Amino acid sequence: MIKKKICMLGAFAVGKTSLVQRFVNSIFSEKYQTTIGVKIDQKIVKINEREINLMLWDIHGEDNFQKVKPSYIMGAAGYFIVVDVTRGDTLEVGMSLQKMADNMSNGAPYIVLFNKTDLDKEEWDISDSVINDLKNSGVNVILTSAKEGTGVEEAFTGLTQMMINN
Amino acid sequence: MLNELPIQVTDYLLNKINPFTGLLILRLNNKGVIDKWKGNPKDYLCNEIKKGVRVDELIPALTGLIPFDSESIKLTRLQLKDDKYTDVHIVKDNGNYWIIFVDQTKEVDKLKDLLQNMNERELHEKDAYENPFKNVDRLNFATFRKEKQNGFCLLPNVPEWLKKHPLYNTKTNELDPVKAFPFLEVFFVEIGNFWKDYEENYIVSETWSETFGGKDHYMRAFAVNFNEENYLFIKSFIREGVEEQNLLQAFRDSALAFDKLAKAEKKLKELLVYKNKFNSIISHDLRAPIAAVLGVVDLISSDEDELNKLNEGYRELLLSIKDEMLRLLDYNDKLYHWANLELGNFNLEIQEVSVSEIFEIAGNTAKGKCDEKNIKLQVEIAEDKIIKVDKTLFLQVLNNLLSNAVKFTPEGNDITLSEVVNDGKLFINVHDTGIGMKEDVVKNLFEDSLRGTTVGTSGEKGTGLGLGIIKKVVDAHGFAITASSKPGKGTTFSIEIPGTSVV
Repeated sequence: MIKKKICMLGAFAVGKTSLVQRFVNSIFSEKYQTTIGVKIDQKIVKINEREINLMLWDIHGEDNFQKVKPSYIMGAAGYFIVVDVTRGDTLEVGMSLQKMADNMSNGAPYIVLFNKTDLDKEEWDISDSVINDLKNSGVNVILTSAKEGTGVEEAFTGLTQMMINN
Repeated sequence: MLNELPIQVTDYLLNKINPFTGLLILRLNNKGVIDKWKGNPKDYLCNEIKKGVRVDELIPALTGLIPFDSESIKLTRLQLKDDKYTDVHIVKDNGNYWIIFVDQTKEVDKLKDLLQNMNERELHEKDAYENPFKNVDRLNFATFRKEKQNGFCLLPNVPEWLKKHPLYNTKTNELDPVKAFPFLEVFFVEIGNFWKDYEENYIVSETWSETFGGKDHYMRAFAVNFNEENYLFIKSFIREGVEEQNLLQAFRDSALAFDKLAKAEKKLKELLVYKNKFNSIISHDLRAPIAAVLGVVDLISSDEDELNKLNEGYRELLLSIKDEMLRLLDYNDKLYHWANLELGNFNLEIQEVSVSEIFEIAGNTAKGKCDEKNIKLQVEIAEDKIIKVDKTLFLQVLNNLLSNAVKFTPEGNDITLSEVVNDGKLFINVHDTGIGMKEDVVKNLFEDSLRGTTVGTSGEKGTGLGLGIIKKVVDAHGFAITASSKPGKGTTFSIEIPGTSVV
């Protein structure tokens, strides 16, 4: 069976662990539980009748207390940049991590996930136009909600497909 | 005695001894005879401490130690009394010896079971000797020896947590760490050529976590070179991992809460601006219709013929309408000023004005209200000075203060508007002989700009905005305003104005 490493990258508390837990275990917890170091989960998915073992590296959020080490991204076949739509600064953090990941993964495919879209639109700090601009610049973007499950399956299968085609 | 500790001993206490739970300090002379002590000897020793006795007579464990040549001696975990473990530090200082007894019983109790267990197994189990690091599994370490032909060999004993790993072979007691822990591929890159050099040392990985056996395991890997061999240790530390997580979580929860507060504050400020704009527009637009109604009332009440057509009741009603409309106009004007002050929609137009001029204008404005209550307004000027103010706004301050003074002063009493020069500073005071205020009211007078209104001595109603406007204008000028009052005696408002000159 083919193994593929996927890294979850983003600022702290954007919902990386929640997205993985929703995808792997179909569960969601409202309680924010900060990730220490790296949490590694696995899930086997079937794409075009082929079974692929996804190694999901849920890497701790980037902030002043914990910096993401570039070596974590080594060997990744693809990665997600996770952004919290209610915290504008998480997009900046995400995009700076994307630059680092691009270097370390030799241009592996990635998708930007705008998470927490279940929250009231009034609370959104990132406008539709910003999201559309990113889409129009050629970046793959998916709006997700780990809480409601929206876009989660689509994100993981979409990235897996991109990794296979790469 | 602690005050007498020489620098050598305090340095030793601060730098060489871990935080302790109990302490006994003895001072000896250069022959080892006890001179002084601090602390409770019964907590550490079997014998009672006596001054003038050699220390080794009372504490045989210290026999032959004193005198010594080095600066200090440390004896760890001595059992000087049953079930009591003590670290003994002896420090030399200019002919004296200081002995510090540090209670280690709690620390020893923590380790006792573990050490006992490890020692017993080392005595009875042969397996333990296959691992050069012996019983490290008891400390939750899994030991792997790196084989020359690549691959790793799991050495006994295998810690219980590792046996729960799905890739652990229970029959052969084998596990390939590279397959079991994908994180290691990153760690192996990070350690570079460490293993090839065989230099005795170790490198520790970052933390990672995985879920197996129904538990979240936090782990760290250690690359170790020992006796010309390469070893890999993996330690699971559930408890420490959670503690670290809790600490980081607390920091991040605070950061998130701060973000939320900042957002709420921003929204609140936007709402306040919106509210003030709304008040400003409404109060501005209300002026015209109020003035129109007042104009009609004025027209009728100044026409004798029209008034004569009305009976007494309607004439009183007309006067009442006029009074209420004037009050409404006053309220509306204050609301307008207050909203604009809150919005910052004003620029001070500073000009030089004499105190006498500004007092004259304010006095004239207040005259009507004073006459209505038969109140005498006294104006006192010590030395006519020039002040730099926005004349219109500053007059508004004086008008509001005088209006308040009239409101709370009973009929027939006095009000004083005065200028006082004290210690080179100029003060403008508005003093009334009215009902006064309690201390707690005075204390918070300017803190809440939107105060409830108090009815005056003749039933006058207010807006509750006056003091808010006064404070805003005074602050904008860079002046200070204070109030002093006594219930039943009256109130004095005092504005301190810096930078004045004689006319």
